[in-house]
Amino acid sequence: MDVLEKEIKIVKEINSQPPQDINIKVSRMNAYYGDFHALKDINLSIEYNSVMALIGPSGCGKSTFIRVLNRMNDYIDSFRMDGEVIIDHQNIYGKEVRIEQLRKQVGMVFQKPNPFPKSVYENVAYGLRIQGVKDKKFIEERVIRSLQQVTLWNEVKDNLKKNALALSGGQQQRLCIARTLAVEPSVILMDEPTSALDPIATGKIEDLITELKKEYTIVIVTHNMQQASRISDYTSFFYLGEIIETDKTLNIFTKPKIKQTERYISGYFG
Amino acid sequence: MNNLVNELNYLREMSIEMMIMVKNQHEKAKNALVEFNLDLAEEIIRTEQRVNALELSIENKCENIIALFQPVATDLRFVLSIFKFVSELERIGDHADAIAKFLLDKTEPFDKEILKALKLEEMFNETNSMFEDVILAMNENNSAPARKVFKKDKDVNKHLRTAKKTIGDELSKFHPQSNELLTLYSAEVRLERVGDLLTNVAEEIIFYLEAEIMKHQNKKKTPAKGKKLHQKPNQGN
Repeated sequence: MDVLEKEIKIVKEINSQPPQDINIKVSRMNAYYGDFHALKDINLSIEYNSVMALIGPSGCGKSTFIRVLNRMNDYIDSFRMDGEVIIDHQNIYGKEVRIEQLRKQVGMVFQKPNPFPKSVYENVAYGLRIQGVKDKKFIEERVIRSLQQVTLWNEVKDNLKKNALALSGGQQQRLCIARTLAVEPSVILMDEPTSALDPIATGKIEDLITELKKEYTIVIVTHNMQQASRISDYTSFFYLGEIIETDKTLNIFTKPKIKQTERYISGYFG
Repeated sequence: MNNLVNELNYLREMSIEMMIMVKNQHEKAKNALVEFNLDLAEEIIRTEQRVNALELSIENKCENIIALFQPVATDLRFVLSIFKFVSELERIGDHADAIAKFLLDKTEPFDKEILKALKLEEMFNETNSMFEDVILAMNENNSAPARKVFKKDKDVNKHLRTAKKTIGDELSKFHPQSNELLTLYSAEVRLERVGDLLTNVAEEIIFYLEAEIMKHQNKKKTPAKGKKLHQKPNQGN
């Protein structure tokens, strides 16, 4: 057995090990944009209440993958996929699945904070309102709780009517996370959530992620290797549309099993 | 080739340079002792300062690489292993220096028969061979020569046990409690090392708190000032 075969065998063994409580299970998944095969035979399991970091060079398929998890790629005409994506024991590509319900279940935070041009309060209440929640007291409680969860409450409690666009970049990103939390998702997807923020705001988001994983499962795409090593429990390395290696983050950053992973995290390519 | 690769290559060169320098000190210590060459002993003592200086340069280089480049995986293990083994090399240099200083206190060569009975040359040769193994391992990025060292260390230990027995037997001809005295003296030598090692720990704590490098400084001249950090590094804001 040559070295490459050995490495492939190790990866298959790791990917086939079923963790105890699986929140997200992706099996034999392929994704295409027209003729372009963007994701190839992806198999990945993510435990409840864990942080999974997706790393890899630009164009490797990380963002496509994360968007598969809440069906955001459905809006792209040329996009098609096959395979199975199970979240909370349900195939999210099943015919019975309602997209609105899925978006409530799987929240998403983007690279650039994208609050609505509304008040701080209305930004957080928005998700509940479009779900048809009318109970004002319930909405208020949920808004306060969400803002407290993202440690923004003390900074905005005296001016909840303030336009969200007047907040700092870091505050806006925490507000977007609060907006996601308000509808009580099971999974939070984060696509480079701190790449537009300064180190202090980044530190607050990282602390928040560590706190939020007690209640949620978090999948984060990041180009910052130190961030991946600081905050995630597991790391998956994507390259050219394939998962090269998935393991506990400590193993990936101290003794990765595959040379390609080591070369990427060490900054020798990408 | 990126900057980290350049830095790591330079660190490798520095560490091999230190290995070779200390190996030379070790070989000179053997020759100075066996041949009773006092000029060589003085040369060892003069070179000791260069060994110490090189240790500090390598530690500084490791610190800078970690702070500026945040290496991971093999690169991190490479930097950490060098950071740790340069201290050991420096201690080996100290031993060569100590042997040289013993010689300067003597006026006559050692008795050849005693040298033979105590396996001095064998121990020097064995440790010199261990040096060659670690240099080869580092030079060729190959762990196989490094693994040879463990067996050789056992042989060195065996020579020491033989030497101790020989000394005990010789001394017992003159003093009935010589073995007891020898054992107690060995314990005292260990205690003296404990003092040295705790001094090293104290130096590192001062380095952490004051960023002052105490290694190889004359501590007697250092005033007993102190500094207390108000914030531990893990307390954040």
